[in-house]
Amino acid sequence: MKKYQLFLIGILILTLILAVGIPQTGAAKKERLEFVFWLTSPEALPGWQKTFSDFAKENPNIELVYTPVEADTWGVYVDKVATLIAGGKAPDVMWVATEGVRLLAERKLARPIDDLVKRDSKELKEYFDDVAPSLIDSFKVKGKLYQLPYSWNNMVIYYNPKLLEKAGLQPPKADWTKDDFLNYAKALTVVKDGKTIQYGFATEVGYFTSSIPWMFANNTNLLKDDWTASNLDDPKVVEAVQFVQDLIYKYKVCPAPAAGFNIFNAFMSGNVAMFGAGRWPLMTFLPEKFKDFNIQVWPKWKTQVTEFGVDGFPILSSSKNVSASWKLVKYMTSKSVLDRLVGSEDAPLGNIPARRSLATGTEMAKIPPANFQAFYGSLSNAKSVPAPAQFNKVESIWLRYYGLILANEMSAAEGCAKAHQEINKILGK
Amino acid sequence: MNATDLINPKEKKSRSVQCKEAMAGYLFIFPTMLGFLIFILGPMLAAIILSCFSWDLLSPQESHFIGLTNFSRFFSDPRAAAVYLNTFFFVICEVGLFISIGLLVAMALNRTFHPIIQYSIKISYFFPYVTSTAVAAVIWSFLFGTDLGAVNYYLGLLGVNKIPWLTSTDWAKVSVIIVDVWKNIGFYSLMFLAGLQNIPAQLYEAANIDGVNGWQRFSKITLPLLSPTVFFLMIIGFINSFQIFDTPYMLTRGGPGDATRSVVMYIYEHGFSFYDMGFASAVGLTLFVIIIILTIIQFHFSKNWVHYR
Amino acid sequence: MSQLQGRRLNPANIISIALIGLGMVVMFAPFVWMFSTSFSTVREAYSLPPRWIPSAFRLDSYQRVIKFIPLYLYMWNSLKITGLITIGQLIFCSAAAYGFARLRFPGRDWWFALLLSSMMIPTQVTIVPIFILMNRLHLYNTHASLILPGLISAFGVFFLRQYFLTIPEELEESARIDGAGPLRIFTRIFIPLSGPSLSALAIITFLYFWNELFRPLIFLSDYNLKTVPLAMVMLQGQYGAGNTAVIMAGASMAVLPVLLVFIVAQRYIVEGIVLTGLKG
Repeated sequence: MKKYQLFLIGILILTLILAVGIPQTGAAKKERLEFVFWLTSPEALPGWQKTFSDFAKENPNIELVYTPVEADTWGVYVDKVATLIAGGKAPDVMWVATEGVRLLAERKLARPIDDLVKRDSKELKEYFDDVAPSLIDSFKVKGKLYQLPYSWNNMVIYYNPKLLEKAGLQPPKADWTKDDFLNYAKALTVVKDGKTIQYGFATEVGYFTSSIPWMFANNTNLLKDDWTASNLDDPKVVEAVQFVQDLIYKYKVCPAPAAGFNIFNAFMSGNVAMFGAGRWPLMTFLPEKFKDFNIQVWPKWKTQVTEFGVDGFPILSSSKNVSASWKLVKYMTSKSVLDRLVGSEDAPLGNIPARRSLATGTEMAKIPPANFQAFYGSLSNAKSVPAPAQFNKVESIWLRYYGLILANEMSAAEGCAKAHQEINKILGK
Repeated sequence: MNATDLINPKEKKSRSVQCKEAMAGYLFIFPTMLGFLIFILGPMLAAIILSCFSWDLLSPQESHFIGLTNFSRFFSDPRAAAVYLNTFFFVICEVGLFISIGLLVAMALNRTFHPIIQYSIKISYFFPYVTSTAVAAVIWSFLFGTDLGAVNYYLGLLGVNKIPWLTSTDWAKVSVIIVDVWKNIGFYSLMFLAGLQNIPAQLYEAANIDGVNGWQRFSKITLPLLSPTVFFLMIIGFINSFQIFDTPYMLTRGGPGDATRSVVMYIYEHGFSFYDMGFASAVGLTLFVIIIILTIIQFHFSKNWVHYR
Repeated sequence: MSQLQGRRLNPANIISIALIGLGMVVMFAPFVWMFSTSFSTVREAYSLPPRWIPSAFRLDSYQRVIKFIPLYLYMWNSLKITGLITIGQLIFCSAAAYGFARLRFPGRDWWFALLLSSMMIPTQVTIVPIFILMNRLHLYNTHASLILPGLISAFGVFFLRQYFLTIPEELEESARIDGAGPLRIFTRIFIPLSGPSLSALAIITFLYFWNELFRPLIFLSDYNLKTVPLAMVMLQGQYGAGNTAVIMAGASMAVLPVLLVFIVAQRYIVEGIVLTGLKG
């Protein structure tokens, strides 16, 4: 074989690869809209696709290009979007939750929508009436509105009615206290032959899911209410964290959290009687046809304040197509779209629609949990999860110390004190 | 490895032959090196340059030169020592285990068994290597559960107390090593097996005739002839283990605290969670330099104990 | 193979048998659990004592995976990407290995060391510059963005160079005397002798890229372009809400093609590495 023949073959292969790989660039007659969102589970995709195709039908001049991102946490999803932005491929619209709102706003990556809302106020009035004010307010940064609430989640306590019955307990009432909770947890912990085969409660090393709800219940917060400084020197915070640590090591009603321990699976197998979560466990329970669960609002301590996080769709400042983007954003607030969030028993979804009418309506009632009112009902006394622009760093610092505390390798007081210093440094205090 | 630049000393090549050979040489390495220059060297240089910049992933237009600030920030971060110590711990334990267990398994495999047994042994040791780390992490997270996990269950039957595999700072490190070794041992065993099979049987036969005992056979024949393999695998093992990321990330997310956080996890955290790519690149550079230095040291000392035939 | 002690049942043999046996259990047990869980309900999966054989072989989890994820499409994508990379590496790495092993040219060893150093910098550090590069080349969101950089492998070159260094000089000499140039020597002598080594590299490369997660996560966007590891992440779901049985079903399906490749080609691995010699 001659030299040049080898080269030709090499080039041929290369060309083949490139030909196969390079995408077709079709003629772009329409306005192109790029949308990126977090695909929270495979079951969620058909709903999104229906939304997109309905949108395309109503807006034939807009070509909607969507990118579903698979990730197990919000953080990984944002990694992908950040890379897109860094690489110059920022989308027009993306799905962003509370944790990222200030991040984008402060870097001027998202565009305030007050002008657009004002312009279309008549059209949107019906929507604004149907959404709790606290959800909308959490999207205001320095008085400017950046997103319209789409879906949200809060933290409630899940319990297994069958296990409660076995322990001779009545289902908890909405005004149950932290001491009631502790008694329930103790009664629901079963020890056999020196091994705990059933735990009253289970938690994880989490910011939104584990530490904040107890702090709110104790009438305090991880950061000061304006999110500009750490609040970890408040003894009430230490008290709340101490309580969680005690659940594990003093009262022994809760297993030590491990990264891979699947609380939902343990709940289904009857090894855990109660745990805290939003609406997402439905995505685990319903496909397994597991319905032995109900929910109640978080127990009352010094107060009874629910924690929530809400998400929506900001228009990125780099977008060259604001009008098409705004059309999509408005479209995502419509009843038909939000109705899909309710999901079904066969294809359950894990978020709560932002519209009160849907979150408390008949469709919601068709699916467990029976006490679904506890989701929206809690909004009358609710606070947003603290999420300053430096959320990622704050969460990361807190989780490091919280993890050590819940592993019993550091006291709650020491962990809070150390985290307090580091977080304040991040926040510039 | 350069010791075997075998050029026939008797034949001195003419200039034009040398030229032709040089041309051919360049041509052969051309596709790989071209790809290397575009896809690897370019980004490597970019990363090196980035390390002297403050580069926010979300607002790249605001990047600016800050000299060695990233480096000084890193060296003054108390977490820096922790992640490096973790990584060193992982490397030393893992490479040690890879070499020792890999060799033991290979030696055991080197005795003939029935082909079916041989085959199933090979498969079982290579099987973990075949799966993805994510799946391995899910499986082992269950197995390592403190209260509801299988391992503690069986240990309990043997009378051993529950071990907090994933929830204690000390045991979490051990768990990461166990899972990573479990996953990769097949590769090392097979490499060693091949190396062993390369040793001619006649050597052993001759030794037997001379009445050499088992240990002497091992130390005088097996080990020296296996030394190139050991060396190769040590280098590969070091380079890979220093960059450990997937296993601790999937299994423990670096926790509890920073107990299982490796240097690359730290880099990932700063680059992709905090969007501080300049800083991440700087830390990456420190890792790069350390790996290079250690590799060079290993090459240097290899002359003392590695025997090429 | 040194078989002197082959069949005698002495203490060394017994110990080694016991060790291997124990090792096999440790190696295999997690997989048994994986397959078993994929067929059972989640509740069974987490029961103690651990259930190694499911009570019934439900196919529900598998059905769910297929229903909600285009797994066959993703397997095809993975196969395409991984296959092209593997073939490409075999060609380019062997050529480069030959150049570094047998041809003399100025700066050769420096180039080789430089290539080797690429193994020492973590992907996480270079991924963003690579991403920007891909974008400039208009290759973002294409399979080519994964394939092209995958064709370069310092490990592959290192590995094959080891083998080429052991091929006797005499073979080359006689060919050279017959008037063969480097290309002829490469294609007529080196490649045919390297079948086993190339198979070994092919398998290792295939495995590595089949399971790769990070680059596809960053470089692919379109739902239809994704690969098998991304499907696994999808199954894990939000906050790990993913059903363990479903995840295991997906994992079992994902592992089957790789297992097939391994079973078919595994005998080449040992043969291949044997002849590689690794003698430096």
